[in-house]
Amino acid sequence: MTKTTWIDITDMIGWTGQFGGTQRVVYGIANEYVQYANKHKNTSVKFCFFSEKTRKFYETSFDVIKPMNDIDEVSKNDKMSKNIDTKERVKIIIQTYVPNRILSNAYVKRYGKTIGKQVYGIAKKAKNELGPKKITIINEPEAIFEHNDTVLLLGKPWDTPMMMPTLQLLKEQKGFLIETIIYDLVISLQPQLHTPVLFKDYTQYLFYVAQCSDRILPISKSSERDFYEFCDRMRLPKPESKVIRIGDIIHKSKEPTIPRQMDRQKSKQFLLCVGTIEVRKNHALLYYVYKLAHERGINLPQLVIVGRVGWNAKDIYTMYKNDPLIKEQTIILDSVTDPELSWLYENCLFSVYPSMYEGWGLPVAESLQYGKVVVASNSSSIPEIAGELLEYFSPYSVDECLHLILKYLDDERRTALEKKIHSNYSPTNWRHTFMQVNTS
Amino acid sequence: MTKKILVLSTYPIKNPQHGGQKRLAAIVNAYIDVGYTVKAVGIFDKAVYKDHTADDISLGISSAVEIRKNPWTGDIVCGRAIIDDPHVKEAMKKHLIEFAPNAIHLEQPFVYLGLEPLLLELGLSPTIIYGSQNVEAPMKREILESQYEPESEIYNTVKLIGECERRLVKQCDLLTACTKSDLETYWKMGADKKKTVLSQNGIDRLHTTEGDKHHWENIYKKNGIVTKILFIASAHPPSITGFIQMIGKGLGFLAPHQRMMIAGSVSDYFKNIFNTKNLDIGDATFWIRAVPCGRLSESSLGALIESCDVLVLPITEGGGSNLKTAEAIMANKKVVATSHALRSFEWAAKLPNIWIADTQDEFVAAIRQAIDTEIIPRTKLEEKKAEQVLWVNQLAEFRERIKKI
Repeated sequence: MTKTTWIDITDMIGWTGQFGGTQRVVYGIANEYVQYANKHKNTSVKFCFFSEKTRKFYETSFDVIKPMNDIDEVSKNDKMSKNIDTKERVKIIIQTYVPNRILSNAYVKRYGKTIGKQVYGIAKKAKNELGPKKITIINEPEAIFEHNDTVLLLGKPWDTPMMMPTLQLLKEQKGFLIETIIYDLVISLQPQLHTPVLFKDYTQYLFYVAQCSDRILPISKSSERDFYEFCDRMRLPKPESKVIRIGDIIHKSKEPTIPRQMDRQKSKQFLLCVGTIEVRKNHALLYYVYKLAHERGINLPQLVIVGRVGWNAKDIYTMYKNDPLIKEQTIILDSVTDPELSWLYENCLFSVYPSMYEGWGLPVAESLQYGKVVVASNSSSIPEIAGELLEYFSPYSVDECLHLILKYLDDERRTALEKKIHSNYSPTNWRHTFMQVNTS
Repeated sequence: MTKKILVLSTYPIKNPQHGGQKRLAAIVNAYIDVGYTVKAVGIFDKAVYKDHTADDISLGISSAVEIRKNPWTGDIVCGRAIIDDPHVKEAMKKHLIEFAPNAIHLEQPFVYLGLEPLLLELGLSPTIIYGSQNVEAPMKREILESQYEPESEIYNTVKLIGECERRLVKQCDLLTACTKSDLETYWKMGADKKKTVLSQNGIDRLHTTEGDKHHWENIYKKNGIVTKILFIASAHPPSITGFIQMIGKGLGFLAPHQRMMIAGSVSDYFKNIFNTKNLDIGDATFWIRAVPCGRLSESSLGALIESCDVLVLPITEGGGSNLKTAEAIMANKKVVATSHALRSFEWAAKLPNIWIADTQDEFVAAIRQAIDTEIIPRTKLEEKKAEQVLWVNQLAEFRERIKKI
């Protein structure tokens, strides 16, 4: 009997925007599975999705996933997915589109939320009374997982909280295998670094993963370590593990272009920091590095931060924006296209990555692909990307970070390391990731 | 003429739920059995006890407010209310004068704080029987320390109770204690050995109804529960501490079809404190493998005990002997207990299906072992031995002694 690998693509169904991090992983691995199955006729790959309403899995095809979007489309926030709750969605829209001068207006601050709530309440009521009634009709056939099958969970099942309990029950009846990718445990183990909205669902998801997965696929040794720590603390069984390296090849199909907000003349020398502005990414450390440099009479190059303002980051954003010393030295770009990002990587002196916690750390890998030095923190998974090729600092030490920045501002040292990166660093393609996941 | 006895406590005993109520209810039955006319009066907080009789006295507003402020010294407030709270004092005076008891049974020392001056004021000197449940002063210290009360407050409270216990021990005409060790403490305090009797805690036989059995069976079926581990406790600090110390919040060792059933008022307490607002991974996952059963009627609890596979007694502190231990022995189930839980039931350790563990790792391992082990049937002799825990046997000597008063 042929063993079937079922790939869950629940969080890709109906998706229309640019792929987010996890969706790139699902697409990258799933695509390789399809290609492999086309060449190996004894291999069976099927796709399924889970309905939270019917609490059943349905069979679907890979074709429902739209291929990666045209890369010059403006990067969209992956939080704008259909799974994010409306409150969070409204918050993101407001933060993205309403100018700061309006948001910081005292009157708006005082009454904005109340008025907004009332308007939302009226709109919701009107929609419920006047709009079409929602009925869940799923035409696809139910997915039947057989004894020898493997269900591969690569996406974000925590967005559909009933999926894991349902899968666990089905597994008890049929005895198929479950393999689950583990991105990171920041939400559960470092809750101070993440919005608490997902805490319960994500933590409960991890509990089920430990109890019903036959194999976990952590994307770094650090995530594997954290997952096992979680298992120890919750007295959970520890499933077998295979650390995989996710694909990180950048497709450069269009010419890099300078971001609209930047001046070519003034932007000759700059440091680059890519990542959402949020507590975890530790932009505060960079702020203090620049302040310390000022105090010591050191003139650092301009800092270009690429990232929208995320959870709990208003304070640090305001400091960057309002500090007379720093604001002249900083450019914050909250939305860039892929060609613009390419231009930034290609033209920066080097990049800085002070993050306090990562499951992997894609901006580090990206920077290396452009042959650029990265001054990165030594936290969690980050040192696994380039190992001894790079030098690292403690994400809590302003001194260590400044020391490394100054070290690589030296042209000779920087060029030497760039050469080393060029000859030693090779990105991972999805075929390589697939080979690690697929054991058949 | 029959002898009249007034039984005083800091809670009513109508529909007894917690251990203290159950013990006192059994004692009242013993008095009735030997021919006493009994009036049981609880001085109680209406917010805590819904069931009571017309004889029970609820606290006045000021006393109730005081309890809200200091819930862990509520028993002291109830005791002192006899003299301090005008509403309680009036009602108590009425009982003392109209019922005119020959004897007064004081369950725990707290009621003596108010009764002693009131008896003096009224010029009454009835026979005093002191029903001890614990040596209370050191126990109160443990509780208050666990609540991080200021040391000066703890010192004063413990001193007050300690002195009251010492007076009572010396002045009473009969003292009944739960454990040998408590009894020895009282002898050291100056109790007359001839006036003391050991009455270990006991239980009544489990009783249940078909309806209650079906209720639980439906719950198990609906939630795919096959193996049930049962923890029964009141929201009393030692019960909470014991569970956290010996089992903890990490219930990942339970398989998907296994559940920790949590019964008694501790269930509501856990529901309040184990919530995801704390961003604690134990709180967030606890209820995946635990079921809050709430406070249950005797019959529903009986059905739950009957249907469970393993009973856990993670008791690490507190004096006295535990009624839950007696229930577990009588239930003839697999039992995982600490040595402390078997205090005064040490003999039960030799019965089959009992695991003793005193560290968290050992305790959890013992639960897992108990789940995986087939229950061994008791011999006739073992059955008889287990029946020692029934109230009728535990209070046999007490009954003989009160006949002679």
